[in-house]
Amino acid sequence: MKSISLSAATRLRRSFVKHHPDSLESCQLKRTGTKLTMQITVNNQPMAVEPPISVEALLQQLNHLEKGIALAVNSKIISRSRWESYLLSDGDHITLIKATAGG
Amino acid sequence: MLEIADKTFSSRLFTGTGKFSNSQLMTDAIIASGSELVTMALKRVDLNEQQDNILGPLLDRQLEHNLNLLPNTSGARTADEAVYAAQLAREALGTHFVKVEIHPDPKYLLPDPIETLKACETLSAMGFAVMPYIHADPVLCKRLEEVGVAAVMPLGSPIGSNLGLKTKEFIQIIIEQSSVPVVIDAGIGSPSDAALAMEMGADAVLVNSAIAVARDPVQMAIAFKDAVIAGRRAYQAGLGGRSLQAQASSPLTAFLDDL
Repeated sequence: MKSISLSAATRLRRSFVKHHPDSLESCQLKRTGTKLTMQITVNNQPMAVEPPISVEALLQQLNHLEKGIALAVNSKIISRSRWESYLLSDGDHITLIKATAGG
Repeated sequence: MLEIADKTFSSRLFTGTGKFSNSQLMTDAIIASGSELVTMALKRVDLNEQQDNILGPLLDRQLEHNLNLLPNTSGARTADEAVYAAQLAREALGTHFVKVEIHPDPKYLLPDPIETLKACETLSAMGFAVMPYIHADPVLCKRLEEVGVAAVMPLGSPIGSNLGLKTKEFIQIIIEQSSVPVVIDAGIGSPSDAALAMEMGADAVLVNSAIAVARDPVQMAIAFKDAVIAGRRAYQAGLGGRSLQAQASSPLTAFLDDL
């Protein structure tokens, strides 16, 4: 599976929004100014981001590129070596974990 | 030297990072203990909070003190959750060591043996060095060995209870039968508990609460270090047998009969 391809549904929505800028399209891609955004969640917190966005770029925005972090997209673990190339899709649920004190 | 999976440990005292009042004290206590395997937990990053870096000072000294990390799967209620947590831990910390900890009931935090066995089988097959936290059940220990765990970690008493080795006789059976290292985990409340476990032939003990909540955690860490060394040495020296009847250790003063 190619991780960088957007889902077919996302491409369709984007195309629809592009050609119907005034529509009340209720899909999660929205037109803000001239840029499209997509909705994702990070640890259950909803947020809008501008595609295309890689895992690495997202973590940079969130200021969480530190050591000791692991990440999963839709419960699938994405290893650090793939963060730069892995592009997020609309509707993705991202889990971000780190080590903490414990016995 | 103690060997677990591909690692060798010169200290038989493993420590945990929970419950310390601050990060520096935790670091100082763990370093004072001489421990070379340190447990930690995982949590979701809270985006609204300032970054929690409680492990930072310890991790900064990781190489200098040969500190190996043992992430746990605490919070997992099923085998699937534990497997997921272990994979995240491997990514986050770059270690294939994992302490499988599946305790669905928060009151006693006793481990679920069925889910633990399933998780250990999967994780061992995936190449993890699996160290399961379990009840002191000799039969379960043998089953865990069969699925390829790197060590077994039977409990002495419930986590954080400081009640000591309430499962002593069963731990003795486990030690006698085990072909993987036996690490006594949970409930060790005092250095004498740790020494007892080591005298019985345990390969190591894991201590967290008893050090973390002591009035002086650094001194307590040193006390545990000494107790584990003493207990191990006593085990190797071979304890004398016990009997209810006295066995004289001085020559009876027979010459007094001459008076």
